[in-house]
Amino acid sequence: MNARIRGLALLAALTLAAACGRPEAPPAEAAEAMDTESGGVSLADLDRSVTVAQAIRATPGAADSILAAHGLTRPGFDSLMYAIAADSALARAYTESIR
Amino acid sequence: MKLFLALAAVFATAPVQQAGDGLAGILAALQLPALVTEARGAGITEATLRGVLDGLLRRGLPADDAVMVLREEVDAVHAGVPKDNFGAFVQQQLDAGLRGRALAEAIRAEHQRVGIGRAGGRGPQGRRKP
Repeated sequence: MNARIRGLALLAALTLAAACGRPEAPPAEAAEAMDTESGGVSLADLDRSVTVAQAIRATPGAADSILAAHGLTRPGFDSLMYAIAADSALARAYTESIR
Repeated sequence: MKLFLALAAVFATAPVQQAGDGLAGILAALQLPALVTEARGAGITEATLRGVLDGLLRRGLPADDAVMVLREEVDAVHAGVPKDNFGAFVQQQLDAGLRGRALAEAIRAEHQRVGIGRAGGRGPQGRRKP
């Protein structure tokens, strides 16, 4: 009887351990994983590039001040465009967002 | 990719060789991710695109120059020009010192030489404008 109880306890412990170790990642970890796959270009960078693009398209004459408001110099903006373009998933997301 | 981003970080703080063409340059630069997406869809390989982008960035060319270069290639591929030699040709021209419009015109001339305008191609008149 004691052996059966110990067996059930072991089974319960294994089930609990398996449930805690399941591969489903919370959103923060998923975002971090995407950052890693993107080599460091973050979703925040994507959001910023889309926001900047939409603002400049809406008010082209304010392009310089829009870049500055988002903490971008012209070289920094160029680098951001290169980095987004180099990542196929981010480039596709950018393209669809500004369409 | 990490090398590419390291270069991007360096050039984010360093002055680019050409500052682009003011507002027109900024508006053109906004098209770069969409144009590279179009290039991927046209069948230009990821390795070629990464190599070209890396070469342009490494030499400090602004993103609107990259748009000019890639526009030439994407239009040419749509017109039926073989896309095999694009990356190597761009690297050669960059090594020779070509930049901006001169680089784009060299790419166009190469396309004329290898295919556009010949039987089966749409010809330069049929190419879409950026």
